[in-house]
Amino acid sequence: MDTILSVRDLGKGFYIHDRAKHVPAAMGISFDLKPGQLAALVGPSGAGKSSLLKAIYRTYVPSSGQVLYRTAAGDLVDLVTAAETQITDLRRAEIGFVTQFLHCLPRLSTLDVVARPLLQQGVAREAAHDKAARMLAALAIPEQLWDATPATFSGGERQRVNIARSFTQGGRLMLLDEPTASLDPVARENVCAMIEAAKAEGAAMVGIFHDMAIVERLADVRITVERKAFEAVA
Amino acid sequence: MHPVDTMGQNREGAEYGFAFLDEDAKRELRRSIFKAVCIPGHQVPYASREMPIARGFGTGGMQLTLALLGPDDACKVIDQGADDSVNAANIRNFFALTCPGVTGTLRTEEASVIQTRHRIPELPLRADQILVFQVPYPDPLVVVEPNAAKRCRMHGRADYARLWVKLYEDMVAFDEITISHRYPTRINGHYIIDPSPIPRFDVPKLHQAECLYLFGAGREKRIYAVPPHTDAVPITFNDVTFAVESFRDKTTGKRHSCRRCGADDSFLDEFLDDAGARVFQCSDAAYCDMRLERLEAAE
Amino acid sequence: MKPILDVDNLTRIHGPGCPACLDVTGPEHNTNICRHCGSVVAVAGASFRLHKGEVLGIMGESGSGKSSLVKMLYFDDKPTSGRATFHDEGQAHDLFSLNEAQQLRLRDTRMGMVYQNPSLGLNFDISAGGNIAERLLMSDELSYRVIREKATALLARTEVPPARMDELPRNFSGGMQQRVQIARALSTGAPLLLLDEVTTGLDLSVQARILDLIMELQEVTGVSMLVVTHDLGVVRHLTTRTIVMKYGRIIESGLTDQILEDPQAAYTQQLVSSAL
Repeated sequence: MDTILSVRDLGKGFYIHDRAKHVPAAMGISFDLKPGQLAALVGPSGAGKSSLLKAIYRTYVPSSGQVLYRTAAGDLVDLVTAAETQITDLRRAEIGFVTQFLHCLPRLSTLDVVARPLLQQGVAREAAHDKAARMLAALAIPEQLWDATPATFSGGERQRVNIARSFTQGGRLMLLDEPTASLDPVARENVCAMIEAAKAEGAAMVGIFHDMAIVERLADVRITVERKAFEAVA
Repeated sequence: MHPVDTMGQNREGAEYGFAFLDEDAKRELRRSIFKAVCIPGHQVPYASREMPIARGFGTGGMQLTLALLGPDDACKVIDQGADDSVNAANIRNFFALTCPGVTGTLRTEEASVIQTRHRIPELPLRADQILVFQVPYPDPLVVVEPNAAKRCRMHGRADYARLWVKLYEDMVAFDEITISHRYPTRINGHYIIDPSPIPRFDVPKLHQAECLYLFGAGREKRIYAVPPHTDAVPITFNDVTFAVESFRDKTTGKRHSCRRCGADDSFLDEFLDDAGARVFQCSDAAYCDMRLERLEAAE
Repeated sequence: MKPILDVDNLTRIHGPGCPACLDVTGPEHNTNICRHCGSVVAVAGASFRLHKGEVLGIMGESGSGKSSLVKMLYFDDKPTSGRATFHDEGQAHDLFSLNEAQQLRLRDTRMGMVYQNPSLGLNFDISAGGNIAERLLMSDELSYRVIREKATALLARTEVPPARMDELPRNFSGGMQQRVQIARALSTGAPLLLLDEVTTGLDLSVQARILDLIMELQEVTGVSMLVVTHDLGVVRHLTTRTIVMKYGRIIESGLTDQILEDPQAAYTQQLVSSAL
């Protein structure tokens, strides 16, 4: 099978203007990923794993490197330099990001929140809600909560809703930023099962997990991220 | 410069020019009339002269009539259809005083120029007749836009949506359009005019008529025209029909007729007679007289 | 994505103007005011593109020029120089070269604007339904029944109780006035919507509901939107791309999440880190 993602020397550093300060870059990482594979970014806390993940998604502007992604249409696109509109289209249809936080407006019910990405893609309301319901059930969110807004949920519940939404949307490439961080063992197990199911369906994933056992279980590729040596201020 | 006919003298012995106004004033009025006829429905500003009656009593109509009258003309003046109201009588006397040779007449069919307040005669006018309206408010947009400059631009763009909104609000509140007089009417497919306070009953008479209609507002200093054979369409929604006063009795459903001449197709004044009974009579006195004459002749 | 609006070097200077105006104003000089001639450079050389179906945020503080920019696009103000091209129904309209009648025609039928102050976008002397009827009438809808039905449906869509549709907007709360404005802006099915600080000044709970409503309407209708705001929360929730303005210049533009989480320009960093 063709490589779906090819990361070449990707690095992310920050320049903070009002302190005239460079925050040193996470080291340039490189790896290839095929559909159905999961690449885990491992390394010490603060090394910049999250920054690199966000750099792939373009939430962060990469300082160096390329992120070559093969679209569903078969084109090879460098996400680092692609046009913003193209990134938006890819994010809507092909590339998903599971954040650590759930931003939502108070008006939407949990079911609506989870179904929303499908509705945005044009899926019919009923089909979207069906899939959302299955996801919520798979993550053991009780049905009586589906009508409530997640704004009132606990952290762990919101995280599970977040995951449900991301996996409802699915995608050929999924980026997972500590998806199991605030979950109890049962929920963690459900999420792992979900990830394995998605992999089996051909999704490629890049993930950060603080639990090495999960990395053992899920990762096909391991990339170690180290921070560059601290550089003096210019 | 045309020679001025000096006609008669006023009480102090000074001489009037023909038709009171000087020739330059008449020329400007005629130019304004000409422009108004060329642009149907467009309000032409003009230098409205001071007249010997107060504003609000027909000075606009008078200036038009005075600009048009020549010694061979026959002139009729009506007010709400009546020749003998104080206002109409005064104006007619003024014309007699200042326009020697002009025949005053009460008969619609004999007049070449008819000056009217608030009514169009029942008898269809001919191509050789001119109807001059006395107009209080020339601009139909004045009720929806207080700024004169903006109104000008709205007329230029035919931006009349706000007039239709008034109709919409009427429909919402009363399920019908309740405008009774000064009904906004679209002339020649572009400008919407205020046809002066004539009743709805008279508005259809403006459409594709043989005669020339001229509108003069003295205080507001505007002249406009509906030329002969011009479309004049009262505005309405395309699913709401424009309706005129029906004069149907609420209980019997029968159309009232004039108590004097029996007409059942004219605009009727409704009033209480000396005995206190509710009666109906033709508003157009000359029309009523004419019908009576014919009835008597037939006997 | 196809473009719907191309803004090219748009500039608005209030005052006599002089050759130095653009050189002595802007973010590096920390001022809008030309020290030579006293003119105010409200917008200088703004260029951007809005795509069909996109929601573009225009973010900045007071004096940034964001409102001036949008005012010009809605013909409430004339630019000093620059172009804006509106792509609609296969045609490219060079907005500032059209005559007044053409501009107003586009504005009445193909564009919608929701102002921060409802009295600018609504006629307070006619009913809520009447406000919507007015815009429908301006786009040549002349059937009373159709007008009434559409107005009712739109107000229902924007969650204004149907029982209140014949009331004057002056009797409504601020949030409900905004809903009427939104309904009115949407009434002609215009492909481009301009929103100028539409939730500023409303109670927080009302803000959230209106934002949510706007989002839902945008998803359902696919309308392209320019959202002018100084509120980071509004930008985050509504927009996919954002441009940041300061002292009349666009200083940064990019994907909204990138602007908010990894701002590159100095001022943007300052702005984003100032959120309460």
